[in-house]
Amino acid sequence: MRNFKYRMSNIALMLMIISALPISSTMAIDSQATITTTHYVYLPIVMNRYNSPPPTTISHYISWGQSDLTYQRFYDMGKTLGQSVPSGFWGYVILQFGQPWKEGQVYKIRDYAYVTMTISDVEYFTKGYLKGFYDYSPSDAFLITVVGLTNQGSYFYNDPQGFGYAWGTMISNIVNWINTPPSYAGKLAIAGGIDNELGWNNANKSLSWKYAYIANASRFYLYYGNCDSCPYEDQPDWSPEPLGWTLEQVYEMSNGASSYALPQIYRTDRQHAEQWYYLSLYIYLQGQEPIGFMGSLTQWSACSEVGGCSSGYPDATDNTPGQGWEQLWGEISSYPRTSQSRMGIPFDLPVSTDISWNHWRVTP
Amino acid sequence: MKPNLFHGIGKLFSIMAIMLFIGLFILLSIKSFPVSQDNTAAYPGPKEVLATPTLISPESLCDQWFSYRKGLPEEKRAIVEEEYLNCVNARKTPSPVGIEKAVPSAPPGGINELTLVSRPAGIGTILETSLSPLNSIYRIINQWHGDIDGMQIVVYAGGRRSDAESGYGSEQPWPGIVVVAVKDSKGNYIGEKGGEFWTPQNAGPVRIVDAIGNQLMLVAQDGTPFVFDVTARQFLAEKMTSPISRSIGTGTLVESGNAPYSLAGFDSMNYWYYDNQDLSRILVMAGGEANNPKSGMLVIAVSFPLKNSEFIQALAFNTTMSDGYLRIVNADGEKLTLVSADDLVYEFDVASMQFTSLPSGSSVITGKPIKLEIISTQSSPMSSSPTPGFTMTPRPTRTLLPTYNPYP
Repeated sequence: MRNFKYRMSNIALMLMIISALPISSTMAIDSQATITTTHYVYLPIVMNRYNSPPPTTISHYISWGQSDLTYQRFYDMGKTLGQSVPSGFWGYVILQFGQPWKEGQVYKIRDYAYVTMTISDVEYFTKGYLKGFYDYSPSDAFLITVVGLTNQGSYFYNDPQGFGYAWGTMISNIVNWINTPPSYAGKLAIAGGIDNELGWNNANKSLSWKYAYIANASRFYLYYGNCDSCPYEDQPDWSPEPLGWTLEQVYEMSNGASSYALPQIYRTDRQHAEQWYYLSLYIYLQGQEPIGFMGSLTQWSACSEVGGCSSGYPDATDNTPGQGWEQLWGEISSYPRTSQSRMGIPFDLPVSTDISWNHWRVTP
Repeated sequence: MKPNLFHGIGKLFSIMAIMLFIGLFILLSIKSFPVSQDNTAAYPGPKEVLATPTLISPESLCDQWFSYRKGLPEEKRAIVEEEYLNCVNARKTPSPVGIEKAVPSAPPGGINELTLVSRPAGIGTILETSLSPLNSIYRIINQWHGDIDGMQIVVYAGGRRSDAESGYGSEQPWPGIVVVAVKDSKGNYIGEKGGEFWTPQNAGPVRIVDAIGNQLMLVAQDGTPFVFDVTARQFLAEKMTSPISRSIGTGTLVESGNAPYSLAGFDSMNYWYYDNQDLSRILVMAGGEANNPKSGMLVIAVSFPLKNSEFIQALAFNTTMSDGYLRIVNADGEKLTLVSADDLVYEFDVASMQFTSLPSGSSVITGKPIKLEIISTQSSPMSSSPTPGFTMTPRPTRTLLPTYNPYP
């Protein structure tokens, strides 16, 4: 009996030791080269800590017609959010204004109700939104508002620098307005944003926008675009189509100077999360910093409102906010190379935001 | 003696195994857990749920919101450090609630309702715009808006990029699709009444060209026709004359990229023609350069079809805005309205052979002489009707088709 117990304890010990050993596999990183990487499988007790998704904020497509595009409307929007948030709230909200447009030499945005407004109008409306939140939120709440546009269309293609300059200037103007006494900086911050999609314009255009933006903006911007048709473990030979983006360019746009990545994690089959993980790993293996993801953007609210998300199909794009965040977290936290910076500082993905067509919606 | 020796060796191995395990445990713990960096993180975000501000100083409160600054690379840190200081300073000063900051003044009226090219179609309206709530995996060409049973319905038509399993990289990587969005009378979206529907065959992206009642007529670039019943949310099996054509202005618009003439490197979306009293025929083809989706091009040809189709003149006009392929959407007399893939609107006067209206930012567009080649006149609607006439679009039968599903 004693011997049996003794043997069993030895077997248990050996099993525990074996389970802690690294398991290796190979992974093709790009079409040119195959890079051998190691996948580590750890005992549960020593796995990376697991974070639960942070509270989700609602971001908004701006789809108001001409009569609704007023300071008061945006003020009421900010007020609605401010009244709904609990004490201690901290979060990001994207105001997605639309597509770059131009009339003569005037830089404009076309919103989702086919109305064009100047970038000065965007600044004016954003101030209304910020003021509404400031006046009606708890005293210990903090909101970072992301004012965004797309990289879509021929006006962006023809003058990305002009739009980058104008957007950066607008962001700096709002920063000055926040800080002018009486300062609102104890509850509010601002950032630029771009829904940069690889199928809309080529990398040179987006990077031109970026460099003009950061030359004029006193705040960073969020990349809440996609990495569509980027490679991932199941499709290592894919390359961003159809406009020839390289992975390095996607990285530069989403995580280079003055930018943070809040990628669209729309697909329920994890493809988007896997593509961003793969990009981060690829960059790490090039000797650079992995991507310090800020979190994830989902469109579950928009899908439930409008549809068009292939719901129920294998490539459905209606991840819930929790699914989107957990997919990205699950991918990057599995491996120390993508779960932390090279200095060993962990990435916690503090942001989960879900975009909606409803201007008054405040919860998913 | 022997049992004691084995026992001793066994004990030794056990101790070694335990020590090895403890060593591995420590090693893996160090490897798995990131090094603590003074409560910092490499991204913008607070570390923990904030305490009530009355209990903590502005420095502590703001530090929690901007704690990540300590872990940022130097080039990103300065901005966040500034935000932290602004936060502290703002919270140290008396609350500005009640002390109003001047409301910013409205900029001079720059808000404009865009005039979209539209026309009645069935019980609704076709809008010639690609703007949609859908992301870049969809390539929307135009849309139809209509009210049915008190509900506002929008049908977006175009293509949706498919994955490798369903044709990515194939000849038609953008199968045709319509996406239906439905709002109630109060403007609230009813998600469950919407949906997306693939065309029964993969002929590439489709656009709406006409409607009868609530049945939409769509065509792919090669002219393949489809009918979508908005009420039944189904594509119908019907026998339609291909290509679809309709009488607009003084001529006939043929909704097919298979034009009767070809120009090397030119890819056509549709064409319009009319016959003069002197028996000459004017043909206008809209499209772009093959393999350059950002280009737009208009080709105009004058010929005598009854005299061996000999060309008198052929000119090509290239757009300058990199706004994508052109298509003809309307005509008033001999003035054609064209829309590009990026929604820019052009007007072209066939009589004077020049653009009379260009989108903001466009340079003047002039025609260049070109040489066209005849493809075939047998299958063209032009060959059977030398004088322009309205080709009735037959009403489709209501045979429901199973929706094409590109998934394996």
